[in-house]
Amino acid sequence: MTAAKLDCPKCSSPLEEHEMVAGVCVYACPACFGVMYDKEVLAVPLKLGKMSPTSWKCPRCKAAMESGGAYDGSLVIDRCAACGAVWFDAGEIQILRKLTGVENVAGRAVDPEEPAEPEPQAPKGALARPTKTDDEPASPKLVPPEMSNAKNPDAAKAPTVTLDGREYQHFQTSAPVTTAVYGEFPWIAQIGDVARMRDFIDPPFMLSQEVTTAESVWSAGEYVEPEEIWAAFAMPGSPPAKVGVAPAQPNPWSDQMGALWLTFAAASVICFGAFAGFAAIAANKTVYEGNFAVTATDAERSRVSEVFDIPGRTSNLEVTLATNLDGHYSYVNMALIDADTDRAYDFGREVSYYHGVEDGESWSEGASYETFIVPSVPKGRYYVRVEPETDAPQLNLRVVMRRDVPLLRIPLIAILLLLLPALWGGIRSSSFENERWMDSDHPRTSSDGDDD
Amino acid sequence: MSRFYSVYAALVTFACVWALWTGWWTTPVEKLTGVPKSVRDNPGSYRSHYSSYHRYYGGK
Repeated sequence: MTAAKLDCPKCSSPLEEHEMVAGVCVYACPACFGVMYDKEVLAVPLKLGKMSPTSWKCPRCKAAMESGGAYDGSLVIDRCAACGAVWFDAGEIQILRKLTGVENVAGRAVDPEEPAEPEPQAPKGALARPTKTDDEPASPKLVPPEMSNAKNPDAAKAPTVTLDGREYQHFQTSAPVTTAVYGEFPWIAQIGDVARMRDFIDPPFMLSQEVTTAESVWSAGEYVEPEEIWAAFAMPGSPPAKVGVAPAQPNPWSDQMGALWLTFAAASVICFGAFAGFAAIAANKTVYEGNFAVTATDAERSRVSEVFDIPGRTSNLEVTLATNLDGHYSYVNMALIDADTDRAYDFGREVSYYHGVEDGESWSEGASYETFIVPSVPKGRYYVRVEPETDAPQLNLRVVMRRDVPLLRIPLIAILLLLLPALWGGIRSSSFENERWMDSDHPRTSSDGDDD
Repeated sequence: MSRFYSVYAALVTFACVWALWTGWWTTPVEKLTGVPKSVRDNPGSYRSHYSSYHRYYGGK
């Protein structure tokens, strides 16, 4: 697309012809990035001030060009005094766009002194702009001076941006380089164009700032699920599976963690409240106390108690076995037998207690007593049968039974059971965030934890 | 997840209240029937279900 007869007035490089819209061409210098607009194709007024002659020659007619301020001196441009062609140095077109509010300044010709009301145009195409990392800086010729610093200050500062009440966190700063252009754009897009991109996120929203030598453009975006895209374009089949985590992808776990912790708190309050209520009304009283003695010479070691009442609703029974064991063990077989029926609760417990001094250090093992729970015993008249096995010469055994004892362990177990899924959700949420931030300028370490 | 957890939390809460009310606990206790009436008169006529279960490994 080189226009053979047109040369850059600034660096003499051959100009390239670019068709901006149908039948409307501009001529750009691939070396210094300047661009020439013929008088007929400039679609915005220039509002020129006083012009001064220059030594540059018009690429079109070789006449002398003149230079002057446009828009009250906000922009200095060069124009051919003969044919009216306008020359914009690199970045000046972007300034003109900003001054006029018109994205596509190439189109129908207008009287330079008349206000124009051009229609805003959107790009119809795509730019391929792989991110150039700081480790591989772009060519010095292509990188604007303020972007040539390989250091990324955002990585250390982690700046935030606030828009419409949302605070966006800095995600990544990069220097993408245009490697391919497809379609039509209302600006000159060239291979090798370099910008500094700064991305800020507040999922599912994202703000991106594109900084060039001439301008700074902010874009707002929102994460859209692949299924919505698929449905919107009536694509056949289903979208491909997601890979990784996108910067603005909502965290499905953190979104639910608030409700989850609220449910956890409510359930915990109910469990502890129920415990407090039952503890207030619990009988928690001793229904039996008895002593048994067994010697090594006894041929029959089983003993029974007198009959006693266990009152109240079906509830637990706390059994305490206290012995005189010291350096011996015992296994106490027990049966709580209903005196009026043929039902019985059969259980047993080991009681052993050893202690001594070894190598100057005292030690002990076990205890001379044992307490345990017999669950869900209905009210009734009962007696206890005990049958101890022991290596002690004589075992003195005291049995104490308490009825309807509040067990704090029950709500604590419930809290633990409630906590496990909540913790699991928290871990999944944290993993999701770690994956999101892994490729950002602020990768999370294991010590960073999760903000959710 | 949130809906599942709500159902799960309701079940755990109900189980907690039920356990507190009925005196449920995890202690292994064998419930037997058909216990002879003569146990009080002759304690040796009954053998504990657990008497052959335990093995003692403690002590020094």
